[in-house]
Amino acid sequence: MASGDLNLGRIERRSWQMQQQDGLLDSFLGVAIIALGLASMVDGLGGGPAARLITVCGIQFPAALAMWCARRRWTRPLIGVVKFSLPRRRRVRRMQWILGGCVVGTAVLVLLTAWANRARPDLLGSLGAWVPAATSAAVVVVPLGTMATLLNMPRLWLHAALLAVVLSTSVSVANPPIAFFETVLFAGAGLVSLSIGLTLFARFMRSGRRAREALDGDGLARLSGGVE
Amino acid sequence: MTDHTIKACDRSDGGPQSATLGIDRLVHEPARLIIMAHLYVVDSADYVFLMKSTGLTWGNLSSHLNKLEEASYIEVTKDFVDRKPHTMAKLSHKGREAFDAYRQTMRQLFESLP
Repeated sequence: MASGDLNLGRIERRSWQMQQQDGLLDSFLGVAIIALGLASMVDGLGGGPAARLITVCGIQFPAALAMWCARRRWTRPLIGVVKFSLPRRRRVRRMQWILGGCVVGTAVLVLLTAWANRARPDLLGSLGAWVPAATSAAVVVVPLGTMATLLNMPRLWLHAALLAVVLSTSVSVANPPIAFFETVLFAGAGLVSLSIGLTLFARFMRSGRRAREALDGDGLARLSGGVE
Repeated sequence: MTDHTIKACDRSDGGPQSATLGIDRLVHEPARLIIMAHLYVVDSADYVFLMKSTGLTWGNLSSHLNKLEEASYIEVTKDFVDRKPHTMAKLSHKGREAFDAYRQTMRQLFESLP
């Protein structure tokens, strides 16, 4: 039996975690980080802010759509459908509010930085070198850490740490040692996240296939149709 | 308490054995216990999820769920998702009460040990 103990809290947590073991979110994060690297390259080639934005959105939105489709088409039928209890749903809602707050906070931070760059260039220069690096890291760690904690997904901390290191490094290194330094950093971190995601996805699909093979032919038909 | 409770008892003086009187056989069976535990912590779940989370085979799960449904411990609803039939199971009020009573009984049973 998969559930060896009868600790109800652990059963609930494991049931929730089962929904997140397909590796699709990790893969999406990997692609999103790579997109940031490519946007930085576009910027380096003289693309400007609009081209940078188009690159990020042009990669991240199709990746999100692909993740949604893959979940619906491949992984959801293998995981099954479960409606969680009210406390869990409240927890998810709380996380959504916090993430919304993080998005608004980041936007305010970007606007303030842009305003300071124009109106008070001396203000940013007077800040310590660690301030932009720490702020960049916080922008990533706070939302991803919130997700990791409230969604019981500890591996999100790894993605958060990777992205935080890359962001703070790219912000704090004034004279990059190589061309497209930022792109290389982001691509490296993105590839690590993507590899984790794809490995989890392959493992998930393999175990799902094994479970399907373990069923008899009739069971397979009934699996999609429920009990007669 | 339901009519599934274990009635065999040779003492009624409040000792450890008398506590077993309250054990509901229907819940006590390990496979059904794990199914009920999973349904207790979520609102409702489909058969695929239960099969995957409990590690039971299709046949086993189906048979235990039928027994639980016969005892009105679970409610089974069938609908169509993407034009395919889809079945969800939910612990009924009676099932939830039975599970709570089972927890209470087992707690009493082990607490009454010297």
